[in-house]
Amino acid sequence: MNQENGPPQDSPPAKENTEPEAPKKEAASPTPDAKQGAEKKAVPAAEKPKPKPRPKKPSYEDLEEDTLLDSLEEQFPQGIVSGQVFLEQPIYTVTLDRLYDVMLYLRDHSELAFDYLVDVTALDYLGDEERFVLVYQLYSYQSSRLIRVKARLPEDQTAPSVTSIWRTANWLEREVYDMFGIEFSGHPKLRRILLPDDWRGYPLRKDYDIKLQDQTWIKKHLRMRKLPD
Amino acid sequence: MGNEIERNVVTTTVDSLFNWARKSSLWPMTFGLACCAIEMMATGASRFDMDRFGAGIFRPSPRQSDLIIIAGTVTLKMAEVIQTLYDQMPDPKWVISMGACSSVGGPFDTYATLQGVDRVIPVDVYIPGCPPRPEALLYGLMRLQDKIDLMSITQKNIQPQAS
Repeated sequence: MNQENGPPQDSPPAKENTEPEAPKKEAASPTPDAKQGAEKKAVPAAEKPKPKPRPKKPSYEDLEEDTLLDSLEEQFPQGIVSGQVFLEQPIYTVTLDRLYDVMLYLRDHSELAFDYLVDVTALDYLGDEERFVLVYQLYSYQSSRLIRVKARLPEDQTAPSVTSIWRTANWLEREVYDMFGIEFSGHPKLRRILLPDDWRGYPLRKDYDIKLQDQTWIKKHLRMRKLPD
Repeated sequence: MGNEIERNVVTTTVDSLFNWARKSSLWPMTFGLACCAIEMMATGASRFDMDRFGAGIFRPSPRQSDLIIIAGTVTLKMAEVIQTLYDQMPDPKWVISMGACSSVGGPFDTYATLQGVDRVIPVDVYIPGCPPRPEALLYGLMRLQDKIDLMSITQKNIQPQAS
C-alpha cells in the first residue's frame, strides 16, 4: 500500500546522498590516504572484465548475390516477390499463380535438385488481405541446401497441390487443410488427417479458440458422462 | 487333531474367496497411448515386476481382460474407441486411469484432448503423475485390489463405483 509512494520518494534522497559523497572523495584526494585510495580505484578498474559483446539478434535480411534467386528471376520474371535470408537460410517469396512452376523448376534443377520436401505449413495473419502464407521447406541432398519458399494467399483461395511433384505433400497438405482450411486443387484425396473427418472448424486459425471443441461432433460420437461431484 | 485341521484346511467366506481370486489375477489390456505407456512397460518388466501381483498378463483383446489401464493422453478421436473397447470388456471390469492426461487432461487443455477419461468411462483408481513412477502404478494397483476386497457377490451391482 505504501509501496507506490516508496520508489519516487526514495530516488531523490538516493541521488542527494551520492552527490555529496563525490565531492567528499574529491576533497579527500590531497590526503596521504589518497594514493592508496587511487590504487584501490585503479586496481579494480583494471581487473574489471570487459563486457562481452552480445550476439546480434537474428533478423530477416535481404538476399544478395544468390545464384538461385537470379536464375529464378530469370525464369519467372513476374513470379518472384522477394528474396530474404534468415540465419543463413534463403527464403524466396513467390506469387501463388507461379508457385507450381517454381516448385517444378526447383525439383528439376540440374545442380540443386530439391528432391526432398521437408515440410508444408502455413501462417495466419488475421486481418490482412492475403491472410495465409504457405511455407514450403525444401532440401537438396545433392548440394545439402535447405531453402524456404513462401506464397501468400487470401482466404477461400485454393492453392495448387505439389503432390505430383513430391508424393510426401499428400499428407503434409492434408495437415495444412485440416488445421487452416486451405484447399489444394489437384490433391488426390483432400480430407482431414489429424482431427476426425466430420469435425467443423480449423483450429490453427487465429480466430479459433484453443479450447473450442466441436460440441456437435461430441454429442454425435461420444457419450459424455456426468462428472461426479 | 485340531492342529492338523489348521494346517490342512482353509476356512473362508465365499466373498473373500471370490475377491481374492479376482484381485490376484487382474489381466490388464494393453492400452498405452503415450508416454505413460513407457512407464507401464517398465512396471511390467523385471525390475518392478507387475506379475508378482498376478497382473502381468497383458491381453491384447478387451474380451479377455478385466482391467484396462488408460495410460496416456486421450484425444476426442480416441475417446470414441475407448468407449467401444470398454463396452466390449466383460464384467467384472475395472479401470485405472494412469497419469495426469487420462485423469484430468494433463497439461493439454486444448480442443482435441479429452479432459479426463472419466468423462466417457467410469474410473476406479486415478494415479497422478507425469508419468507416474512404476512404484506409483503398483500402489494404484494395490489400492484397486483393496477396492476389489470390498465387493460382495450378494450385491446386485458388482461394480464398486460411484457412477
